Amino acid sequence: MEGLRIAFEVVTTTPAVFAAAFGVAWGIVGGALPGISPSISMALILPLTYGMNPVVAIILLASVYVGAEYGGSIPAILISTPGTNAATVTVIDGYEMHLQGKGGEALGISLVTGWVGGMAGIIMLIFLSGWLTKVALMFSPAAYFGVGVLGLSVIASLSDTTMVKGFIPGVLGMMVATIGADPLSGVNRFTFDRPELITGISVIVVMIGLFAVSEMLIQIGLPPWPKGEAGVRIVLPSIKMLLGRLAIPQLIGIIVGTFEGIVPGAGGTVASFISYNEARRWSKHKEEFGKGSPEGVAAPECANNVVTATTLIPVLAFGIPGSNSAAVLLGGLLLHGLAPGPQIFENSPEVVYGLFAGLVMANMFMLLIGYFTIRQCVWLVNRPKPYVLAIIFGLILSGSYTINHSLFDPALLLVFGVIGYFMRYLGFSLLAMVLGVVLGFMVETNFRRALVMSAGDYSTFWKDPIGAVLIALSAVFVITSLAGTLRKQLKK
Amino acid sequence: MKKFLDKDLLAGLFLIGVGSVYYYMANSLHRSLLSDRVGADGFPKLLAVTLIIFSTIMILQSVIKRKPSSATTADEGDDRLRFKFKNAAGMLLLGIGYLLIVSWAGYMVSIALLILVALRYQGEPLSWNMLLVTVLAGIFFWVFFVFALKIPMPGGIWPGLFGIR
Repeated sequence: MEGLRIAFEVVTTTPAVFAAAFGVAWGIVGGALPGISPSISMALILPLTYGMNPVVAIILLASVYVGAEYGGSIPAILISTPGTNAATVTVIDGYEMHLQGKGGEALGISLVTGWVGGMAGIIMLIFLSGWLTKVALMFSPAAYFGVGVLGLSVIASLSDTTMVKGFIPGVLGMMVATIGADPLSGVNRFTFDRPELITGISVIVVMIGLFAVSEMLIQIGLPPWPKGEAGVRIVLPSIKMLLGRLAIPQLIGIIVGTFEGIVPGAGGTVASFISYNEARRWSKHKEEFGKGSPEGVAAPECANNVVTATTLIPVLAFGIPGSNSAAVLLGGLLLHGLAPGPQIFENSPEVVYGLFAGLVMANMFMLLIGYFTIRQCVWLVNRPKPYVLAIIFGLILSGSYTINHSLFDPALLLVFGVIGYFMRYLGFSLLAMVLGVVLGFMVETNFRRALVMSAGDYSTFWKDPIGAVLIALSAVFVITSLAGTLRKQLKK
Repeated sequence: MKKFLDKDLLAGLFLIGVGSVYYYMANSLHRSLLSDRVGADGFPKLLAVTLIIFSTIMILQSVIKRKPSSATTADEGDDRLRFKFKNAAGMLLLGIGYLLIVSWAGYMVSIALLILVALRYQGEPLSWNMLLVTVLAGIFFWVFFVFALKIPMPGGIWPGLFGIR
């Protein structure tokens, strides 16, 4: 009840409603632009939240994520080009439906099942993260070290090619995190006598550079995006269809989305692929899959919207981002001085419950804005690509200046853009580097603090029960990932 | 595939260089009297060694997997399609150019110029429509950041010229 009161207070006393509406609109447009992923849409708006009330800023970012997941399905259905990775599987049946003259119906199914998924995800988020408040005060520095190590162990599953391509960017990220004054002794490390570096490199600069600038540098060499049909209208599915033929795919989407959202490293893309396959397996109309099946649109769209909420569980509980979008949201928390992890429930309940309320509002706005502004979205997406890229470039450079009101940040942003560009060229995981930057500080500081508190006794790490369990879990995670990679290579 | 492996090899060598320089710099950090047992240099040194080890593994993987065939693979073709270095470098230079002029040309003029040049660089023909868009974008960005968000964007030489503080 206390949580509900706080959530109500946030909604009624802050501009959270406007933030949610604007965030969803921004997200739908960003998601609909091929190449502009939810994380990039969020990263572009992140610096602009600097002067905002932290709760409003977090709601804005989460709303962008919600909107972008729906937005990604618009070009997937209309032009066979997924706006987001998670919408890739929507192309299969969504575009087929469009070719059969049922594009409006496909968009309607995507919108409504996405809303159902989003709301189910919020319920899961509230239910599963609630118990964490009870353990909030039990974490020692050794346990926090374990949390950091667990987060870093996610890296093991992040590279598509070899595991080493996940670990290297993770180490590079931790190297970036060591820049600035040492948190324990105050010694300046790797600052090259630049005063701007004494406080370290902003996670936001790293993220916008790696995600947004590198994507722009890639997009500049690619052909124009295909254009969508301007006169499209959304046709909402009937209640009978939702509770009948689409009920099982939605249930599958909710179950898969919940699980994949919680497991770090999986995210919406994996969830949508798995739920599509499961929906086909359980369907009475298997033969229609791949030929314009409504179930083939419902299952992945429901699943990737469940993930928008459930991916926040590891972020709020442990400060571990399981996906690029969750990493940007975590960057938003850090930007506003909010320490993610179990204690956020104790220290900043208004942020947690405000976020829950914000997600509910974002899903409602997704339904409204998604339905009424489809033509405007298609019009925006149909603008010439050079204009879109030029404006985004201006926005990126301007936004990064707002962080410290210094030209050093935009310059650093371009450096990280180049790093991100070459990392993608080499097949390195960008998220692994972001995890390294975010968790490097946490791992080093808590490792050293734990040693100081135990007078240099290393056994403190396995004497602390929470820390020991988390470190053991990390080992299990890395070993299973390693075994999986080896199995794949042996099969080849 | 051969090219893919070669770029891994080169990247591995480069990263070993990065790890070595980073280790040297970590080793040069002075020891504070406030320092704990691990010290300011402990974690960075561990990272440097880890990077060198992983880079060596990547190089070894690249050498072991190397195949004699030089035929172009789908992966390589895809890379060539996606990564156009010259286009990316040009856009990057535009960004650097913007950073160099913004202090004296001012934010509104620089951002409009950046958008105009970026459009021309992407092959858009010069037109009144383009000029109008760039001018409006410059004004919009300035109003949004300076007035709406209260960010003190660089004013350049203009406030001095017009006697505005």
